[in-house]
Amino acid sequence: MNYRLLDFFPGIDTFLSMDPTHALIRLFLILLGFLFIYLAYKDILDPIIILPMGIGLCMVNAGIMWMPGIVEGTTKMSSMFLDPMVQTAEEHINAIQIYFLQPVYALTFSNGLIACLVFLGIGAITDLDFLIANPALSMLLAVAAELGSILTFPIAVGMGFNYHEAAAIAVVGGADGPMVLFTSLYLAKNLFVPITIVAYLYLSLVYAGYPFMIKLLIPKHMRAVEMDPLKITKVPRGEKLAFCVLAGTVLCLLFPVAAPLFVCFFLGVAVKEGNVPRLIKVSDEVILNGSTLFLGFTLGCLLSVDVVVDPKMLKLILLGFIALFLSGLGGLIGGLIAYKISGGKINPLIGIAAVSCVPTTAKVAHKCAHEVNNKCFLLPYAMGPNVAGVITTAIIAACYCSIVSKLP
Amino acid sequence: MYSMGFALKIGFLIYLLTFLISLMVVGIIILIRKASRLGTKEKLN
Repeated sequence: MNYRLLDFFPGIDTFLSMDPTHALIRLFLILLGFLFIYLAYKDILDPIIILPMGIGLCMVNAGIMWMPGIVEGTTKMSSMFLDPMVQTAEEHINAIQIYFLQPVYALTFSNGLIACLVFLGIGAITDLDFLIANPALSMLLAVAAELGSILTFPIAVGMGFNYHEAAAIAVVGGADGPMVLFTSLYLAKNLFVPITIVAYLYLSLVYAGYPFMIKLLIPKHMRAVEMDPLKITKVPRGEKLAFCVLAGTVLCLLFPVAAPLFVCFFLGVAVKEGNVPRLIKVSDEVILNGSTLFLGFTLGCLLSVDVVVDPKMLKLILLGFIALFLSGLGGLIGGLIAYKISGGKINPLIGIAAVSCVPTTAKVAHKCAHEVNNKCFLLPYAMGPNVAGVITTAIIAACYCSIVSKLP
Repeated sequence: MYSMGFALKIGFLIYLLTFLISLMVVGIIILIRKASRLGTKEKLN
């Protein structure tokens, strides 16, 4: 029997057998994985999601070999991680026995469960005090910060996407990863991998990018406005529990299509406000951390050469940027209006916290205010619009899922 | 086939809906707060 040296190293063999452009892109993806790991290690990108994504990205693209194809007697290049293209029940059963991540993908990704689990954990760490103490300000700022989720929709249609795909990419403006994943799975399953990866990449960059935008648009004296955290009214636990039960029920009644997201978020809040320490611990430490780990890792594993060579990828990268830029701009405009109406008592930076990337944008607002005035402690105030942003993004995602899914 | 103008209209409609539902959420919070204060006052009396 004749053996070639390369038969012992199928990863290198597939590299050399590939079309040179694809091989270069594969190499680029491996290097991109290294870069992600480095940036996560240096805390430039959010390590919670980017570190497992980077590990998945470099190792899945390195470990490609010849595998038996779906049609008997054929072979294809694939990794031992997962195959997102399986369709029939028989293919699913076969794939689960071959690919080690396939059970996680089939059980949690294909139906959006992973997004709901992350949302459950977010609910369990969410503090509703400022939202309930100042509901009008928080909700109106959150509506202003949805500018990107709205305007990106027609822009994406203008760039050649159909209504379903355009709505899925527009939700990136809400800056809520699980919501983007849920909406893209519902409306544009063919693009859910690139859209979700673009969303998570930009969400990791928000911490570094938004401060530039703030410094460019908001004068120093406005950024320095002090807001006394002791003035926030303490909200009784019962009121917060009543809010999550009532608001959750009404929102599920209005938008059954997004009920899984609403129910998981408000279940997390109810667990926290219902004071059940064992459930809080399991929702936060086990469910949130566990699902974030698998979310990042599986997304990294899904980012293969085929996804990158898709001509829509570049447009998606551009649209993701436009969506988050417009949302940040809308939030700051809302903050400036609140500053003017209050006669200079409200720091306009809490507007950017309404872009609902919990709690990153609230931290950005606090950090930028603290830099110019070290007496300024904005975080408790910023958490109100931040949480309201989660609710408005869920409403927008639900509207897109209900309205746009009926369009051709 | 896919019109930008139509998408803008849909976007505006969704924005309006989000605004109205947000107001409804504000209304729910105000109602809960009022009911809670009423309960506390009755307890004190």
